Amino acid sequence: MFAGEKLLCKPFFTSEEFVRKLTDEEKLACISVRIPLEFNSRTLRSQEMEKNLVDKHMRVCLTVDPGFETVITVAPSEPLLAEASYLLMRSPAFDLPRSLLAELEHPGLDKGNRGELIAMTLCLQARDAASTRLQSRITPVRDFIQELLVPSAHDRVLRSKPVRARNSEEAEKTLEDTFRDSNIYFNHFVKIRDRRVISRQFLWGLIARGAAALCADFQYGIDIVIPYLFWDRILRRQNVSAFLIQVKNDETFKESPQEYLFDMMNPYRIEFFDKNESHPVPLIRMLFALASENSSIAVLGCPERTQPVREGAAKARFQADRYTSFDIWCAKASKETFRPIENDAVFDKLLLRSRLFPNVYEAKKSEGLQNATRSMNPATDIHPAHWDRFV
Amino acid sequence: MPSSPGLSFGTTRNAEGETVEYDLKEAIGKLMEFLIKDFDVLQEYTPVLIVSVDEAHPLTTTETDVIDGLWSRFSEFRRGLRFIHSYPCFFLFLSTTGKVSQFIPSPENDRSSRVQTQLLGLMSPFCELGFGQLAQKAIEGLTPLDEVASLLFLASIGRPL
Repeated sequence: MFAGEKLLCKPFFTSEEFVRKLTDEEKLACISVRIPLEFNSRTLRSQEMEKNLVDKHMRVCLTVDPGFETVITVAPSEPLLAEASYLLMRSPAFDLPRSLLAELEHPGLDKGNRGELIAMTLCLQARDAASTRLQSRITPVRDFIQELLVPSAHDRVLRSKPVRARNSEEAEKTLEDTFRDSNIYFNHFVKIRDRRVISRQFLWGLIARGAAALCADFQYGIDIVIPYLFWDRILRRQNVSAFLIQVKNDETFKESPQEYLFDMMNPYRIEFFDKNESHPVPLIRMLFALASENSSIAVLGCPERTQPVREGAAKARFQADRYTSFDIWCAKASKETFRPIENDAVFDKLLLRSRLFPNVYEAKKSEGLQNATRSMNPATDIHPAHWDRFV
Repeated sequence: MPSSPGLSFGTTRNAEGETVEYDLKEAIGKLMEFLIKDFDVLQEYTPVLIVSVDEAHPLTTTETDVIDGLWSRFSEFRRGLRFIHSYPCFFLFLSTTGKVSQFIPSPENDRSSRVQTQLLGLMSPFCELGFGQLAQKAIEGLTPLDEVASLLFLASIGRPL
């Protein structure tokens, strides 16, 4: 309660009536302690909003340059504030996607061009739903998946087998059996600034703070890491596994899985595992192709052998890999794919807002103005207006 | 250590019209006797009383007096506290928008002549302390998930509210 008062800078209640009357600024304060939002401060409104969040809503100013030209502020990882925010967000009166959309309608917030904001929103909503249903901050991996994906896909996903496995024992186990004892604990995301944090050496510490990670800008293969404890409930490096999530807000990624994108989430390449990892635990990798035209949830299967096994040969039915992974392709930000989505239209708009381009052109009133604006940024898009002045 | 100049605590009338005499030293002595069994002012104790004055910067507004010259409520407050410095109590003045120099000026700009002549020194300000001062530590291989997910643990992380 006290943390809630500090967050809102006023008395704190969790009634629907109270939540409904929260101002845009107060809602943004609640969102920003759970989802890392960055201000680019291009407008007076966003500068004012950023200043007020620091002044009244617990945002932290890290540095101000001597001329007061640049102010760098963050909502640092503070699980208690995130918990207070959750108490408000679990109310039906707090519509997280719509509140986020309302704020993104104004320029000034950095929107993340791969739709990470939307992916984090979906993951948080799934976590909150599981947490509220189970009345616990700790949620089994299975329950998180059940709240993230539509019910029609649950059986298929939970009974799927890994796409690659270290040994025959792991290859034969279903996702549900593999992660039977695995538990997630997070109530907020924190943006990490160095890709080396996505190592089990650091991730167990992130779990201790109840945090999941939004990856550094230059980490191309992976956007979101939600760590969890695999074997049991004791915090230690060897016990850490994770959801590795890549997000695409690009309509060229459709309902059919593109396997090379999962290869970019190779846990050895991204240094999630050490080079000579002694305890590589099974992982779940997901790809959110949010801008796909059609909805689908596809679980990648173990590829068939290209050469038939010789009669009588004692060869394994699978090729042993360096790690065990379940790969899931989720296409379209739609209520037919993700369980937390109630209204496709809000997510459609969120996807558009998450793309700086071509929105900067399409926001212009007439085609003539759009073309004129496109011509001011030549050779950067396939639209003829980017080219026809010079070729 | 130079002795503190004498403080005159005035008498005043309370709501019932009775005359009341204030004596800070006597009052704090009684409080310490209440808080510490067999309190002895000559012994050393860790602070048993911590008073925090939030957003204290308005106290530092300088005013002019025809007799005493420049003064502020903070400088008078500090002088009063100097009088009870032997007692195990500690005062914190917090400010988010003030200037450090308002509370801890350089010696030559201080109101006190004893500070100016450096017979007395001032404590350095506590600033940019970081977060997590009260954080409980999770120990790898020992701490269970249920402990870090408890309200007690997560309330200890981050800035002390």
